[in-house]
Amino acid sequence: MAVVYEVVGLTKKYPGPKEVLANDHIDLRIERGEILGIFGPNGAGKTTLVRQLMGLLRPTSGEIRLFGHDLVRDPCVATRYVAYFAQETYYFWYLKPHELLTITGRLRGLSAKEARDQAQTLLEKFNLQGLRSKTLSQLSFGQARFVTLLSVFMGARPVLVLDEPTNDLDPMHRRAFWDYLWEVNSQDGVTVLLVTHNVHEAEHVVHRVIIMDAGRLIASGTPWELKQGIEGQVRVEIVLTESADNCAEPAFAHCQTLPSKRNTILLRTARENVDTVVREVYERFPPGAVADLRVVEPTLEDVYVQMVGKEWV
Amino acid sequence: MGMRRLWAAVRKFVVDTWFVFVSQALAFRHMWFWSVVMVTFIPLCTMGFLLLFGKPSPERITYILTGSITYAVSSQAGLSLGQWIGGLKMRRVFDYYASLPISKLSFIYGLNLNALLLCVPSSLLLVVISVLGFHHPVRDPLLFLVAFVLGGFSLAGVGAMIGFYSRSGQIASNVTQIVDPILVFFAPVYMPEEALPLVLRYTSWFMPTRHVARLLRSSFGGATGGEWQSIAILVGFIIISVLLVHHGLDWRGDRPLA
Repeated sequence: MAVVYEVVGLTKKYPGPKEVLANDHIDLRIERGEILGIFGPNGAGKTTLVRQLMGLLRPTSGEIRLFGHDLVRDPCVATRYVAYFAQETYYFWYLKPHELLTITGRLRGLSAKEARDQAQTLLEKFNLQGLRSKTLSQLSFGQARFVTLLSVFMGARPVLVLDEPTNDLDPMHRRAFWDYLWEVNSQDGVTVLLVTHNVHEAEHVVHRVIIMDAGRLIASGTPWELKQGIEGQVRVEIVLTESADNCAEPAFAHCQTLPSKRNTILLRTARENVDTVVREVYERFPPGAVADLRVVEPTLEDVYVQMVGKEWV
Repeated sequence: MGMRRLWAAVRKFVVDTWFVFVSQALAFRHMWFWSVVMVTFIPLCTMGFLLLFGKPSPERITYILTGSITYAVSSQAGLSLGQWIGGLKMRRVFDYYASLPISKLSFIYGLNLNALLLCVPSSLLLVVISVLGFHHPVRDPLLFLVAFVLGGFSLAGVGAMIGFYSRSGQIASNVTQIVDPILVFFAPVYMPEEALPLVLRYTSWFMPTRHVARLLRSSFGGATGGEWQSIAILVGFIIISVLLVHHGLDWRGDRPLA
């Protein structure tokens, strides 16, 4: 399979009185048609990594090759192959949807007709033609963000780098976006690098995942491969009728207590302990106190929490 | 083949510059009116204030009018680029443009064109005041246009450098506001060269504003010779700007974000 990105020993230090090591000897290979999820807590170095992969930031050391081109030596190569969606997108608030799409298309080298046609196709596909006369500032926040997100598809670049694309989108827009991303990935073989905090949502979209922490790549594999690391374990979700804070601190035998939510206690235990734990739950709490009890397979989010060792909010 | 490639490159530069200009002009469509008011207000006030004092001789009026137009062009079209780029950097809009296959020159001159057009109304207003209030028309409109355009573009490089290399948008704004009066008041813009201290008479040769003001005065009062020298110097400033932007600015490199 053709290699899109090949990254070797990528290191980025931000100079200053307290030098920050944002990326620490990262090796990475991304193949054509992959959707790669890049997960990690705030400050893990994800955005620094993708900005280097976009040629927007010069590495301190290491190599980046994009379709065989030396991206460190010639960062402009990225502009020919990659479309980038950055986290901050609130600048073009006073452009109308078709203006933003058309201008982006023209600046990506499309002819006037191509840019107009592609913009029209995207707006029609997502039923946004009715918003033609409105500026983004006159749309809802989510709609405006969605239109901005659509601009990465202008120019049909073979690689998309998306930094927190679905932030602020409602479930309908999220669904529409993920479906379209799948469509361009499966039909056109578009490669996608997806930086997101929404591990749960992205789990169903990505082919492969890398997890970063403190500038280092701490895990890499398919969601299935990563979940093998906690194979044989399940998560028990106990939903109480009143806040878990009001109950005595529940400690269950053979269980690891995960960070609880308001009315929910989360436990992780080995699959063979499930019967014991369920029995213990109903013995521990008075009748009617347990509103719901679920035993679920571990998710990518569980893998993430285990690896990064921090609560996922 | 070579000519075809050159033509394609020029065409791409023009198209890219135009769409950077359009994107910025539309992004600020809600501010057009107030931007024009802002650009007009300071030169207009300065002109009104200077006209209050002293004898309004034709020569003095020419200096005040052309000085005010020079002020508008240099501060808005050239130096405001520094503030503008600083603001874009602060909002990380740079990443949008830097991730597109456009050149730094297209980016800078797209912004510059936008800024230059915003000061057209103020300059026209000053010309109208000159004609109606002082019966002092522009005698050489072509020279006026040349001075206006060269003036606007000759300071783009300085503005771009301030914007790119300032640590934050706020610092870019502050530096711009320091450099701006130096370029206007430390050169023979509002006053004859002889009125300046000796040292400034020499240092002002390195300021585009001196040459813009001189050309504008010629466009009002008729050519007196030496205009080609000013035009050549302004073209030189533009060439230096292009070189500075092309070789000195690393917008895809290791620059501070905001």
